[in-house]
Amino acid sequence: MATAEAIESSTDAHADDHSGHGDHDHPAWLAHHFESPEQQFDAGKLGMWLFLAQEVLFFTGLFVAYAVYRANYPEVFINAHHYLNPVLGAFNTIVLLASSLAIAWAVRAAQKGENELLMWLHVFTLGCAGLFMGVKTVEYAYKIDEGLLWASMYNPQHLTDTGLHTQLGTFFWMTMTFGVIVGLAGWMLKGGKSVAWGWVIFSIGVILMSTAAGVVVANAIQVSSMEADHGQHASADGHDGHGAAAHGDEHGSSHAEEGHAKEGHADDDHSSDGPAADGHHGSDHAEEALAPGVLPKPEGEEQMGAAAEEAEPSEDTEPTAEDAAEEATAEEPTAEPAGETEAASEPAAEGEAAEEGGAEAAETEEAPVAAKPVYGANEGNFFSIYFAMTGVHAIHIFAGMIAFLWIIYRIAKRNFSPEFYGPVEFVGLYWHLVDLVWIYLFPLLYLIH
Amino acid sequence: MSSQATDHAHDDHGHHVTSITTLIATFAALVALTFLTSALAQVNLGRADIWVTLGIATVKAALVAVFFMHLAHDKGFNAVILLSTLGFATLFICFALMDKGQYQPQIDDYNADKRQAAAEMSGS
Repeated sequence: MATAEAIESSTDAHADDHSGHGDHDHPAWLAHHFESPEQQFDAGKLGMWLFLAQEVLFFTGLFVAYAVYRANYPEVFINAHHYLNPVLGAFNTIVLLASSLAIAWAVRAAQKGENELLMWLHVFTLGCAGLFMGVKTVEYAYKIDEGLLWASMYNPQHLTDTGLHTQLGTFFWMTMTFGVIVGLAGWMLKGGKSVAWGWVIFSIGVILMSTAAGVVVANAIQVSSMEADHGQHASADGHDGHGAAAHGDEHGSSHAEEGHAKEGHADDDHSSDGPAADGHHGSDHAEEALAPGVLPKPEGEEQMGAAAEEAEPSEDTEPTAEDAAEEATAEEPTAEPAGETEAASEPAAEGEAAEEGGAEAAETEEAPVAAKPVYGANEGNFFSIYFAMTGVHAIHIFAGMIAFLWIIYRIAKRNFSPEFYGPVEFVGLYWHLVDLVWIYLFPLLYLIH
Repeated sequence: MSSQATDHAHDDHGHHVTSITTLIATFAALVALTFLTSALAQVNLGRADIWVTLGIATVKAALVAVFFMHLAHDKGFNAVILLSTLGFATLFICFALMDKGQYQPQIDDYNADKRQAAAEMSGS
């Protein structure tokens, strides 16, 4: 495209001051390989849609992983979702929806030649993106502190008084201060000679400031959610500072028995496994290196699984007390019919076993476990999928931010007009796709029930 | 800054300009559906759960695609691209799900081996 040169006035349809073509009477922004502006616009749009098609398919790969794991281990997913805060997820959803509105409106502004509105709508969108990333930062900080990581590093533990989540305040101050400085620098720059770079730097400042704001808002929401849960299970176990992961934990401690009973009942398919199941619940797993035994399988291998489970009841005599104190999220009454009883106990077992396998198990039982004995899917697998999906999505948000900074540079250069606004629309389409992916991610990850 | 709120005007090239009313209405619908899906998370609909969730998400996606992404007023081929992509994505997920139990024997064998090894290691 011949437009990248600093052409201040794109509305001059017959600008011919581009590298020696004195005699063309086409707009400066019309690339030579297109016959008309119309064709250029349509080709650009088609190209972007084809790219979006590819993006949809590659996210579908991640969704397939999600679908297969969820179909095979539904109770793991039901338990694991307790670790996520749906309020934060909903907040992020609204933020992205607002950014989509802003970008759609920006396209309208470009079509109507409203350059200043076009610019501010893009800055607003970057603000929304920063806010989103700030919330993500808080979510990830708590996950890391609670050991809720991908399968190989899954090591659930109680929230303590140390860890990343205690650094969020510092992070906020640093990011906000830096953002204000950068924003001011950009603001002054754009009033001077470097208008375009000034806007870019100002926008980076906006991103930093809104990220800081997101951190504050998200942390407030997270803390109040944790306290709300604490209040509901006040009788629980006197632990303080539970993270989101502790939701299931508190449920486990106060409803351990009910959980057992419910799991025994809820499982119609394995009435014969009732006793074994209850034994399992109590179980945990010092020796449970072996316990996790058979995974919840889809169908048909219950017999094998049941047999294997019943072979180990003798080991499952641990009292519930220690488990209750653990991340006994599986204790959460899972009325999931598809989950076998072993399945229900598996996540607890897995969580326990994994925890014990992990070098820094919060409460280590006696059994020395050489390697992490994880048999089958556990919450760690859920978190592998969670981090893969939200992580890749976050990378797309970063890429979108960079694309928007480029567009902001060009808006400041007055590249766009009602005759030429293709890039605005195309980057906007990309951003809508990022929003679309989140529209699916949110209910599938945060609202499993 | 012109501000015809409800114009369905076309710009110089005949491209449709979305009205502000349409934009705001779409956004409002999207937010409402977000609250709906969050609220429905508290309700147990049994086996319909996942379908209702996906259904609401798809309605939201359709709103974004048709109005924000302008598919309603675009060249039809762009919509064909999106719809066929969704079709292939569905095929992808369906085929994978059809196979989901297929490798269970191998998984069970692997786990049995692991269990065995662990048992031997802990000398039980």
